[in-house]
Amino acid sequence: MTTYILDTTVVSDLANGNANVRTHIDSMLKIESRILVPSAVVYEFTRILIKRNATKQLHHLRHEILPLFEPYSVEDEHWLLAARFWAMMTSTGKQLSDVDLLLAAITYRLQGVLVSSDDDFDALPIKRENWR
Amino acid sequence: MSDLQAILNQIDELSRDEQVRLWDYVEQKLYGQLNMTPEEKIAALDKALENFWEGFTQAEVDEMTAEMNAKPVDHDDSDMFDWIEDLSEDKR
Repeated sequence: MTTYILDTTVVSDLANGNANVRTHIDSMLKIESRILVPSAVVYEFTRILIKRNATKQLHHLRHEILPLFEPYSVEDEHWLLAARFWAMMTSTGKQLSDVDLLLAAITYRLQGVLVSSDDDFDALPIKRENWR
Repeated sequence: MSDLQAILNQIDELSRDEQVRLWDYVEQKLYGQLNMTPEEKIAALDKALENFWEGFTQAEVDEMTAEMNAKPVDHDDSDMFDWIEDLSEDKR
C-alpha cells in the first residue's frame, strides 16, 4: 500500500476547493491508501488560522478534517535527516523551509510519496506527486 | 493545577472497568473516523469543507493561503537587501 504524505499546499488546496486535488484525495480514500498529515503541516496551516482569528475554520480543521487522515508526529530521527537534507540543499544553492525538510525526511523514512506542487523537492531523493 | 492534571487525577480514582470504558471512549474519539468506510470519509470531507471559509472574503482567503505556502527568506543572502543602500539615511 502506498503511503502519501500531504504538504501544506495540498491541505490549503483542499480547503480552497481545488477540484483536481479533491479528485485525487477521493481516489486514494477509495483504494484505502495511507494518507498522512504530519504535525508540521498542521502547524503551518493552524498558525495562520490562529493569526487571523479564524476560530470556526480551526474547529473544522481539527475536529472534522484532520481526523479523516492519519496523523504523523515528527521525531528526533526526522530532524536529523532533515539536517542532512538541509546540508545537501544549501550545497546546491537551493533552499527549503525547515517544515519542508521535515516532510522530505518523513517521506524518505516511510518510503512514501510526498504530495506537493513544489518542484524544489525534486533535488532530494524522495518520490513526489503533484495533484494540482 | 491544570484542568488536564485534575482530569488525570480523577482517572486515577476510577475502577479498572471504568478506566477500560474511558479507554474505549478516547480510542473512539481519536480513531473513530479512521475506521469509517471510504464513502463515509468522502461524505464527511464534503460536509467539513462546505463553506469552509465562511466569514472571509476571497481576498482574505488568498492572503492566508499565500502565507501558509510562503517560501523561506534567506537572511544570509545579503544581495537581497542591496536596495536599502539606495535609500537615504532617514528612510532606512
